[in-house]
Amino acid sequence: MDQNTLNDLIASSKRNDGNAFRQLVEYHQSMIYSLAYRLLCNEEEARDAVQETFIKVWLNLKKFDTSRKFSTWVYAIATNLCYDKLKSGKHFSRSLPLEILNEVISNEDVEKKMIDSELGSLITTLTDELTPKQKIVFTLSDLEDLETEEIVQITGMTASQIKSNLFLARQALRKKINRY
Amino acid sequence: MEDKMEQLIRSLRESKPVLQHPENLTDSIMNQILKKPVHQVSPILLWTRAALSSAAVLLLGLFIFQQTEAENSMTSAAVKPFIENKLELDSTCMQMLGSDHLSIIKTYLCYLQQNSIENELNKSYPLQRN
Repeated sequence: MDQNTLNDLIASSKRNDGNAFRQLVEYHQSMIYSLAYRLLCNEEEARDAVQETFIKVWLNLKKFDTSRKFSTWVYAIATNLCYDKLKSGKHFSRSLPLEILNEVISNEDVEKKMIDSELGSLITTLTDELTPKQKIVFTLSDLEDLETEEIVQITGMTASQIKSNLFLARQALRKKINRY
Repeated sequence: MEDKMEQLIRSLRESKPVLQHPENLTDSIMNQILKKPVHQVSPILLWTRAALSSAAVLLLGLFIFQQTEAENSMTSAAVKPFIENKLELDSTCMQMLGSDHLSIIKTYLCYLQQNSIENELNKSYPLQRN
């Protein structure tokens, strides 16, 4: 979707055009789902998070500053929602059994071992000792492959805070892998 | 070990979670949105709300100010400069009291005199303090 079409859809959505907003949802929901799933590691909760995100987007669309990147704004809303869920400790995610994790890590061809259904469990197992902030920074930077500048806009953290959180997250991950 | 970690991260990055039945999720979002229409507040209503709020605060302030003033004036009025003496049976004036008219007048005059002395004392009290 090119930028002009995106701007037109945003402008129409601001005028309460449901069809235009539907197209925005269809275009962005997969990427928001990917982020939510990687953070919450639970399909149902990730779907709920996507739904809540787009409802918030619709309700606050008039406040959206068109000089900003729309996807970054949506990412920020989704990240905040997931952060609240992670912080509350009420969310449920299944850890990978120890022997399977051991097998995945010790396998020479680790990339081939990754299967979609186990992805959430693997992320949960690897990141369960991280704080919510560390998990968010690690997910946005290493898994979603976003630039630090964009992470600053999404999380509201400073670049140095992001770097220190990422360093601690990677260190914890390294320790975990060392154990297997 | 570094390679293994990098491999693992790359693997996690490349394994994108796939959204099952995206159309169902879109429908669900759109249904929720239709239930929650954007509440539009007209500028006139916003202006009226602000004006009424300001007026309410102003009136409340005025009421409190008036109450304080009224209380102050009542307190100052309550200070009575003159003292009314009660009749005491063993007082000097009561000892003059007899059955004839003259003694009654004398007693009355005695009280008048005592009251005037005390009133004068009260009047002069603030001056003495200063």
